[in-house]
Amino acid sequence: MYCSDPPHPLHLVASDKQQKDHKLILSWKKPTMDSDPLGVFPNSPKYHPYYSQTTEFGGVIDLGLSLRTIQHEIYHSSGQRYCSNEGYRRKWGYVKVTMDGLVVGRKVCVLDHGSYSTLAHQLEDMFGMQSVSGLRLFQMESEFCLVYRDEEGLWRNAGDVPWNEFIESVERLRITRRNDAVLPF
Amino acid sequence: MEVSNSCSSFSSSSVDSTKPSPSESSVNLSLSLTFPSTSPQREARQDWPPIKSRLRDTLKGRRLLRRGDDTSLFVKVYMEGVPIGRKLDLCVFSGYESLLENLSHMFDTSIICGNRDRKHHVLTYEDKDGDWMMVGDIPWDMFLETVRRLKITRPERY
Repeated sequence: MYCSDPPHPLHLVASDKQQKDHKLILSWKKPTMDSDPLGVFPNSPKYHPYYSQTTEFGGVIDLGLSLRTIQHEIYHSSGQRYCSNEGYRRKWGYVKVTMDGLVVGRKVCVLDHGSYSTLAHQLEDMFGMQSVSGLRLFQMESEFCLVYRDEEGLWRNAGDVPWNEFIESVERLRITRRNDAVLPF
Repeated sequence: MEVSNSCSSFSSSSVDSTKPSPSESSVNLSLSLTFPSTSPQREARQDWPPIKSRLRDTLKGRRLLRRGDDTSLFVKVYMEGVPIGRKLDLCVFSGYESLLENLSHMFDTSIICGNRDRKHHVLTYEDKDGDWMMVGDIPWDMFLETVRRLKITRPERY
């Protein structure tokens, strides 16, 4: 995605100065001929010496391109989008569920359930037809068991901790066969 | 004469933009210091002012703006067994129902989502993490945020 792309140096300059205005205003620091405090612009021969020295001062020249404001807005909007994406899992409560041997996974909302039993019912509806006798999760005679990955990235057996603790730490679910569970992940 | 005109233009621009007086004199000093050192050969270069690269970045920004506004979200759609794929703008649909209806018409087949069925094709999608998921489990708005491409799978394979 474009969010992961490194931002353009100009955006970095704008971000450093925390300018709220859409139109960049000329701002000057004490001139130092040698130092390049921001280190943003490369010493490229294609730049005019006047322009290079100006950037060394930390200022930005507005050449009158009307599209600069749009470019400036993009940076903020993409940042906001990235933040909103991070909050989606916490906001909706949806986690991925995969079953060993199946290519396509599902998603369940753990906040819609109040206990392990209702979650087991939903998973039965989603994956139950993969076995003749069904999943029968959390039952002694079942050949399947449900494991989950917590916020620290560790895979744990579902049902060991109280439901309220489970829904706070679960990030991913996996339906595995009971004998496979003995193997380390 | 050309040098003089350029200097004058920059001076007026700087004066209009700068608010405090001390930096104004600093600007003038900088201008006077740099321009006499400009040689005719460097002055005749084609990449000054450096608008080309900036214009390219601006056009890229406009594309990002279009994506950011969610005015269009084109994704690839493949059907198993059909070598040629399609492209679809998900923003024109209001939800899963209209998406399924359009896909069934586009590929001339019966497609379901949300449940596994031995007789119908099932719609799946690849998300941002690269995992293939069943379409229909999450709210439509959340689906638009995470979908990368679509695949219509055969009934017996998933």
